[in-house]
Amino acid sequence: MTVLVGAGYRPELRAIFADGTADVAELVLDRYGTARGAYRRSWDLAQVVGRVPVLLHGLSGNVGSVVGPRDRYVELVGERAGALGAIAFSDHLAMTRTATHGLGHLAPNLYDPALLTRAAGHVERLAEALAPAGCPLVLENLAYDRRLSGSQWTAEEFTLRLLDATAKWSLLLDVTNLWVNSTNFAFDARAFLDALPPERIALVHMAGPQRFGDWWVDTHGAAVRDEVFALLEDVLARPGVEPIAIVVERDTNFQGAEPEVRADLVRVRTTLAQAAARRGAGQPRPARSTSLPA
Amino acid sequence: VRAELEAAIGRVITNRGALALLRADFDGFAAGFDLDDAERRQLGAMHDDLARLHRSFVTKRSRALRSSFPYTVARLGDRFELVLGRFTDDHPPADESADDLARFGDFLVDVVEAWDEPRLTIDVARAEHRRGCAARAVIPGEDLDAARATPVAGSEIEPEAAAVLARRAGVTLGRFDHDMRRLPVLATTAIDELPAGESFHAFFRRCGADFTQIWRIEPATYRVLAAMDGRATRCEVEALADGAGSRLAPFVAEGAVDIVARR
Repeated sequence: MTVLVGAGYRPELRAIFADGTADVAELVLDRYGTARGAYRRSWDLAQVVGRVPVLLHGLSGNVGSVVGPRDRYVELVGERAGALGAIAFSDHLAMTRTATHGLGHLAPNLYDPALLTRAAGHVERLAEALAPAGCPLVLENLAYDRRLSGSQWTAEEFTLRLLDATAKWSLLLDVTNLWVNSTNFAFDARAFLDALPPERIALVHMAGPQRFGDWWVDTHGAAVRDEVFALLEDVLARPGVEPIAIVVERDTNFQGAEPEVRADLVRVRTTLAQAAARRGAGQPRPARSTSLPA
Repeated sequence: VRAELEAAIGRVITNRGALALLRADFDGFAAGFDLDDAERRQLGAMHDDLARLHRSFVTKRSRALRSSFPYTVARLGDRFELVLGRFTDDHPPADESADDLARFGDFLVDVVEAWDEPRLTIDVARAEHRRGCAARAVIPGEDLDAARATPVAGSEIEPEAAAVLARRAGVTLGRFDHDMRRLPVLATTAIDELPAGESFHAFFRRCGADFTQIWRIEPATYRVLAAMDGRATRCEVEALADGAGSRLAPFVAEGAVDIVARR
């Protein structure tokens, strides 16, 4: 199976899509679609739609809350996935709004059975909206600054339980988020990978985090780090892992970003080729961890 | 189930006043939400976590808002943070970042006007706000092809009298990241047919496109745009903008608009 290698579309990175360096473009739904029949930044859309396969990426799905996505958002997701011919729609396992207003960013929540039941329902709503477009629903593991006291599970455990709870979604494994969380909260990222059903990993995200004091933040503002590529290598070495696409994200610090993203894309392709060669040669994959993230 | 607890969490992590109230008077804060005893205990237990998330959320939101107004930030200095603080205190985040930026732009322009800032600062704030609004404008999808199919002749473009406060040389603007389809469309070949008068109109042309969009602009905006052609000397820019210490040249370099020719 061919894994598409691409990047999140930004006007600053336009050349990467124009010259064929990226063979898939991820478009952020919230940047380009706002209501039925209307688009933002149609010029940007014209740069990629119909030229390369499109992955649609949402920021406001609110799957990780009891409130869930707004009706209008669910409608928009289904409509835009069809109109843009998206090969997958992804969003986040995060709380993005309350019953009364938006949060502006992605928040963790209290991970417990009550949330799990609601989140499974939100997943099924979104998947149903996407079904007419034949577009799979994919959800991304969150990078978080804090775990909320009182949670019964970690975000990683919640992800695994939601995978068990409903088969209507697959995972967008953000390798950088996983590395950032495992570094900040001192757990073994590979234990999470061991627990993941490999066939449920549909997409992979890579981005450059930045360090602020002793804290790593997933800023999408730098080149992807060696440690994150090492984790990607580990992911790809696992039998059954066949993502649709691997996407490099760059959303800030655009000075000098294009060559960095190009280099990251080359390195992703190299990592993929090496993983394929190892599988072909029957080399053993890295040793499994033995504990789940605490 | 749990929606009120989520509302309380959301309020604390996005609002400085709510965080302060949570710290100073937990019972008073919690009373504002319909929480059961277990939820009250949960909210109390996550006090420190919410404070940490608050810092992160307010920082991210402020960074996003600040990044859309780099030259207004440079002109206002620390006072920009005052505007940001007042805005984030009074306005919870919108569901869409475009709406948040638009609301902040309106708020910022109102504040700098109320503060009686130098004309250049007000113009720069307005120009950055307009640039952002244009970039994020919502275009009716059904009009896309219609606009392309029906370009109008240059001779048919006549500014409304009310818009012509003074007549200046027209400006042809080059690359512009947004395609303003709702605006009048002009065949590119018809640009030369335009009356050789002066007007406050900017012409947005996509490279290689066979049509051009016309944007009627205010005199103040025109003055800023006209100053940003990359060829004007600092003295010329300052004279045009009625102010000193101009920082406008890099505004063009940022790539939002390039003035490729001046008629």
